[in-house]
Amino acid sequence: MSPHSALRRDATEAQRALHRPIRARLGVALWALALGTIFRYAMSLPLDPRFFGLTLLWIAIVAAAFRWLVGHQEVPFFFPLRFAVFSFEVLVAAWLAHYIGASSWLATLFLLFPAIEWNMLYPGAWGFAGSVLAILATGALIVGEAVGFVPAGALFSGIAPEYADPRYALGAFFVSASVIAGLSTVVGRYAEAGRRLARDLGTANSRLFELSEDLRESHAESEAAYRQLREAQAELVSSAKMASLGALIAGVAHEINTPLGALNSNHDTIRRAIHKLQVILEDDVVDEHELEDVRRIVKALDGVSSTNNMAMDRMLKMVDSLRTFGRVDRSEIDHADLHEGLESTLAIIAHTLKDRITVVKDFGDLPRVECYPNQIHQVFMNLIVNAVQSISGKGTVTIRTRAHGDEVTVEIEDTGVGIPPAILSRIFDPGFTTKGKRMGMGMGLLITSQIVDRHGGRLAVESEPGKGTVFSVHLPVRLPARARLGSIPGVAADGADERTGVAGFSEANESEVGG
Amino acid sequence: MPEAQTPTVLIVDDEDMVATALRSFLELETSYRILTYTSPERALEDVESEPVNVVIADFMMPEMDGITFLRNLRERKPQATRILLTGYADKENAIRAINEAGLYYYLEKPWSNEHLKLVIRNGVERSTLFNELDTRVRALEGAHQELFDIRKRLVRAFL
Repeated sequence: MSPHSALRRDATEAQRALHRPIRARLGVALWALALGTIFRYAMSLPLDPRFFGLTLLWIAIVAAAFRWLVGHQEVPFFFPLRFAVFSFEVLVAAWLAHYIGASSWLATLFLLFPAIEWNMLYPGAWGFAGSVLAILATGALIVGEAVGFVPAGALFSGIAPEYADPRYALGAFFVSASVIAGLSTVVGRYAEAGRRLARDLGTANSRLFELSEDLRESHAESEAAYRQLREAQAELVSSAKMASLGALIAGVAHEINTPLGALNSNHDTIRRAIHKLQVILEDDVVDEHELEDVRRIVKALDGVSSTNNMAMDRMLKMVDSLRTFGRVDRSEIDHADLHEGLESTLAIIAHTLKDRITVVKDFGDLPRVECYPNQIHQVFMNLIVNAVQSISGKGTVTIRTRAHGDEVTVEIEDTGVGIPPAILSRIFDPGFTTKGKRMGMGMGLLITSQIVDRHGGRLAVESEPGKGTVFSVHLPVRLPARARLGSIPGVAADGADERTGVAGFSEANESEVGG
Repeated sequence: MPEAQTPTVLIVDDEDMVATALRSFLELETSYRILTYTSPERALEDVESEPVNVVIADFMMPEMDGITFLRNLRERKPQATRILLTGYADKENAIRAINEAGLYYYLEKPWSNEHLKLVIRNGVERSTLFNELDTRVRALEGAHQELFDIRKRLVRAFL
């Protein structure tokens, strides 16, 4: 059972427990009214309006007080208030007894207090016996005066003379005794119930307090967990960024290393050649043997120079591809030529393709597409790298582009291992990866699909294990307004996000959490 | 036999610019005979008819990786000193290369010409020594055989 339903049960129980004494008291009050009326009628006495008035007041006050007290257990004066109501009841009962002529004020109180006291201290049979004893002891006084044993006027001095008639006094005594016995039983019984109730309420209260403490704690915990999650997410995003940046850098480094190695060696060769030539030319005379050397040196220089051209061309091309890919010079919305982006992506990862992967470019006629080019290049990069990695030996990656009305489609198809149907639906989940921890922390496809999503497009996948996989990127030719109005968060504000094209990832997730 | 005395260096790299840079440098600085190939398969075919002292092979080649190439070459030219040139400082590959191809040296791109020259000179020396040892052993075996024959003839003459 949950703590909440237990608490609700406790509250209902408490309410019922508070209503029970009201009903019992009302019963006693009505009983007093009925018995008093019958008795006075039997004695042919007029009905005293004070008697009615007091009974009705008793009923009204008790009902109102208890009704108010229910649900206000937490007010600071709850128990003093309860005591006040109880004292008032005792007073009303004493006045009632007095008005029907049971005895004097004093006698009635003598009668009342011990009776109620006994019941409060010992609820049940012992309390009842004590009450009866108290009533009988007071009754003995009244009877004693009626029969002349107690000096006349000691008890009845305060009451109307007609009530002093011993027969009447005895009858009144029995009526009030029964009423008082009832009241004392009720009060005694419910005093115990009240104590238990107070205890229960205290327990419920402390349980409520504990619960709210628990809640506060678990709230603090969930807040801490949320903060940790956000941090972990930020870390993941940055490590995904770093992973794709790392792959990019590794590719570029490798691609630049070869021409750089050649240039570096050539530079040294040229220096040496010049030095050799200087040595030969030092004595102004070039003999036959030295001429042979000069020819050799010039031949080497020729080879070096043609290689330098090749190496520099290669590096310039690389830098150009990088610029197209990263669009470091233009990081805003642009009407991009997707083919250019695909070509530059292929150039950057060329070293992973070599002769192993055949790239088939089935390019259709594409309009320029309004997009964040650097992000779209990130998409191409992720999908092409995935395609290449899914092929273990030799294979083919086909890049197909088509335009249909207001939409363009870029399909990247591989002849790799394919994705089993069982996990096909999970591939866009964060952290899902088949490549082990080292590769990309499984954020690649998530980021890819988020970028496509935020461009108002969609990313679809079809796969057949053993045959290959097709990822299709569908993009609208015009960027939807929500993307243009900066709801690709962080794009304009955060330049660092720009370059790796995973802009707004964390912001997007925040809004998901918030919603 | 002057050709046999000029040591031969075989360079195999799918990147023409690297092969040419190496060749230019070595032709300028050394008197070795330099053979360059951009295809490891062609190099293996041609190497049958060529004496080779030192081989420098690139690691990342589309037809065949450098380690496989050097392993194949080892079967054909066991005396040749094998050097791997690589863009990756990859310990795993280095160990594999040393174990599988009996590698003499592991060079990283970009390389230092001075260092390369030193490594090649040592490689040539090593290979020359191996060749010389081979020649001597063969000569020794020939002499031994001759002696054996003489002894046989002597024994036959006396008996």
